[in-house]
Amino acid sequence: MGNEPIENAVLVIPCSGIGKVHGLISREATYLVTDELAPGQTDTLCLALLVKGDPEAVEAVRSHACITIDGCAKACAEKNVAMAGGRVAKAIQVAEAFKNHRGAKPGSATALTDDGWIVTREIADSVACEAARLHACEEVIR
Amino acid sequence: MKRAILSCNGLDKAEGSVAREVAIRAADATGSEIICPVLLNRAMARYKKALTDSSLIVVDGCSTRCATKLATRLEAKVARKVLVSDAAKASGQALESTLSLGPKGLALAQSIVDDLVRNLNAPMLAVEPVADFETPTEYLVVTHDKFEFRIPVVDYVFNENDVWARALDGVARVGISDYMQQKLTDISYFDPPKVDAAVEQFGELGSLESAKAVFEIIAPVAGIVTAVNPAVVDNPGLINEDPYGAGWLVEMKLTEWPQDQELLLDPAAYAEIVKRKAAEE
Amino acid sequence: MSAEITKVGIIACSGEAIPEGTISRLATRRVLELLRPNATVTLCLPLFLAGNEAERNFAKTHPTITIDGCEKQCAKWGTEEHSGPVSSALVVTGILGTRAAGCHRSSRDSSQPDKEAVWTVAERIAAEVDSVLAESGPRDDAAAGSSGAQCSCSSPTAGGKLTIRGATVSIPGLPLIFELCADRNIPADTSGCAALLDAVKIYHRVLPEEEAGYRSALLAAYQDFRSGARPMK
Repeated sequence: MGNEPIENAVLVIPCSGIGKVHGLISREATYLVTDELAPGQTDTLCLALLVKGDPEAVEAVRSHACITIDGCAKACAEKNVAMAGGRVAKAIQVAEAFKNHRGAKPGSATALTDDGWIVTREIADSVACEAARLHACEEVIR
Repeated sequence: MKRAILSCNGLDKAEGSVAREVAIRAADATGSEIICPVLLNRAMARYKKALTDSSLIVVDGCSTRCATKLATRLEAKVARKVLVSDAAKASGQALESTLSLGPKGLALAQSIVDDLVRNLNAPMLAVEPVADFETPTEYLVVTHDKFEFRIPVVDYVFNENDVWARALDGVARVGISDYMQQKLTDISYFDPPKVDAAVEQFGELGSLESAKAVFEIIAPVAGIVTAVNPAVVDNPGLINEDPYGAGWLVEMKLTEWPQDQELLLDPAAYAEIVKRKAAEE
Repeated sequence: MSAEITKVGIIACSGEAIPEGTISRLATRRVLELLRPNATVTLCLPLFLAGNEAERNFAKTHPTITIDGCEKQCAKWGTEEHSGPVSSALVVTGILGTRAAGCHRSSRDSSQPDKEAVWTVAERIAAEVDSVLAESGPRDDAAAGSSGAQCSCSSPTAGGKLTIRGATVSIPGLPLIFELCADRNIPADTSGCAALLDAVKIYHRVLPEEEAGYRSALLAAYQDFRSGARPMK
């Protein structure tokens, strides 16, 4: 997102936590969605900008459906989008996705392994499906 | 013994279709009553007798575990759980991707039912912990850089492997320390020991897995496993949230408690261990 | 602040919308894992802003450097809002200028400009860390702990252990140094020895009389690395 999100886009907002691999997965899953799986239908914005109270970011989450991707149960992205008055249509936690990937070694907070990319893609597919559903139901714009 | 089967209603995955098939076939094979999850959610009274009088088998399609969560929310006593996605992985066979069951889905459903019938009379998951432990209120805090590791000051003892025990009336409750749960980060699996298993002090008491590591739980005490925390089996994240309270792992009937204590650490001594480990990392 | 400062906190904005946010994140990780593993702690901005007391308390009691992707400086704002003044506020666009033009948000698209940008910003952050610590007084290396990196919850980055003339030497971040050398096409043969040693000397002290021993051990380890094995840990 430059200054304003793409018109009619679903906003995908990751937590991007820097300390754990889960944060990196949240971020890379977002880019898979916005750049490859659903370009033109989805966009992202900086979570820190939203928390700072940037008027454009706040208006964006209030006027577009949002999907948050959090690394863990602390749910920083989900909570902050909700606190800014945004509508969280779907909240995903990367830690939950690992329950379907027993034994996976996803990498570190700096770089993902092949296992990490498998989990990332799975999450991205799920987000892209939800974005498509929101578009189909015309729930994107309030 | 009367039995009832509660299956998830997964309509968007093949595993949900398998779960439904398992419920139908298991009900035929065992004479069990099937509980509809949608009706149960709306009108629990309809199934009150079944839930009170029957041994409940819960069948979930995937790790979202909707049926288990519903049963837990309604405080139903679950005797046996089935997770289709785990059974599919263990079988090594990928399911068909369609929602209508194909040969692989049907074969998996039958295999799950056969296993259920075979183990109908095996010891049940002990869901009722015996001991009545209060949540700790006072803690030592070990600080290292920005990390704070809490250690309860009363009643808890530790081994050097970051596992705590708390004894009351001949029973010990066991879990991992705040230091270890922070080190592991988000725990996604708990492999518990078997109920009724006899475990020696420093023997194996199951394992935990996170994206970072697999952690073998080393028993701080010798005893017989009497209960496994069902809340943690369903939601291993509880260990991270509350490692000394709701995130307890196992209860054991103590068999050598006086001697065991000699090799365990009090909170202050464990705090020194944590300081050393944190500095070495 | 603590009278004996041994660690500096680094908060990156990790802004998702622009490549400079990704650079801020990766450069911070590079400093933590390789350039200044004994001297830095990263603080997670989302957790920080969400109210995590441990993160905020560290920033209150230790010098903190912020690294923001752009002039909006969200990390600087957040730190000053919740913990107090920062010791240094860096901005990626200010450091890189037009060099960020060819960079990408996702690591899938990472190319040479991305890698160069991360190194440039990382070295800048490392220089700030040195400056902040110098102003804070003498460091106590023993108190700083061993060669592991300190981060929010990740494992310490493995260093490399080499045997040099019978002694085991630990070099923090050696695999990452080797990655950098491979990126720069330093050959895994005797012609690459000098460049290998120069790369290691940026991050690890080598006395003149030790250089010969380091050259041969590094070359052997680098050859293993390039062939798919990994340096001894």
